Amino acid sequence: MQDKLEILSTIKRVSPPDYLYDKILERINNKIQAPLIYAYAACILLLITFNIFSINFSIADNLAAINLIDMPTNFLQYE
Amino acid sequence: MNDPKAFYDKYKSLVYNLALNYSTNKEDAEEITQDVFLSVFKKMSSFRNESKIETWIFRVTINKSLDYLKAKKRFKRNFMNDGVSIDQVSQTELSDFNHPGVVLESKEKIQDIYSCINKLSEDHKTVIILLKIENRTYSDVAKIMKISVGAVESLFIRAKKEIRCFT
Repeated sequence: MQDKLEILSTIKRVSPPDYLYDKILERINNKIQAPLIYAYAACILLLITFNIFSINFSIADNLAAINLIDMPTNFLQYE
Repeated sequence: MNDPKAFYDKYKSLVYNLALNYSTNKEDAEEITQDVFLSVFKKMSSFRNESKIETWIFRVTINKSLDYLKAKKRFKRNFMNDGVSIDQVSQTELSDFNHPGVVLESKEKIQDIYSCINKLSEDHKTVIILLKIENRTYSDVAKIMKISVGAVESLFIRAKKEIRCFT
């Protein structure tokens, strides 16, 4: 077995491909951009929430207006 | 570390070859090398000069390689089926064997030995790779693995015994 393991020392050292450093830089840049993407997503969510609230309020206002319109006007007329 | 490119150039061969000796696959070694340098660049400020920087890089590369191989094995087992044995997974690892440092004449023999090495525990595998492929001294391996020289010796003896059992 000792001899068998000795063959492992024949494994030669090789150079990494040249493009590897560019790939590392690319991954570093992607990591830096990730928090920005989260910030954009948070802004969009905030806008959507704001819109939902504003739509709800406007519906409530409209309903109140409808209630006023639907009120029987007879009282006023006959008084 | 003022110049990341200079730092990369200094240690790229060490990291890539060690990752290659763990994964025995060019593509996997490239992935591991990227992971190692990302981690090293990030943690450089927290590096304490208690150990040599080379020893630290060895440690990071070993950990990243073992993590990568574990994740790959887990993925393969899930992908192939839950009932796949370790032997079958080792066989698929052999089919991935693409080590550019292995010469064609000895490829078959080295592949056979790797089929045994891949069945060893992480510590035993590390000792064999560092002593027999990286040609490090017992004292270097002890520093890298943060254990005593005696512990390295006994790990090596047990690893050799286990390899004998597998063959």
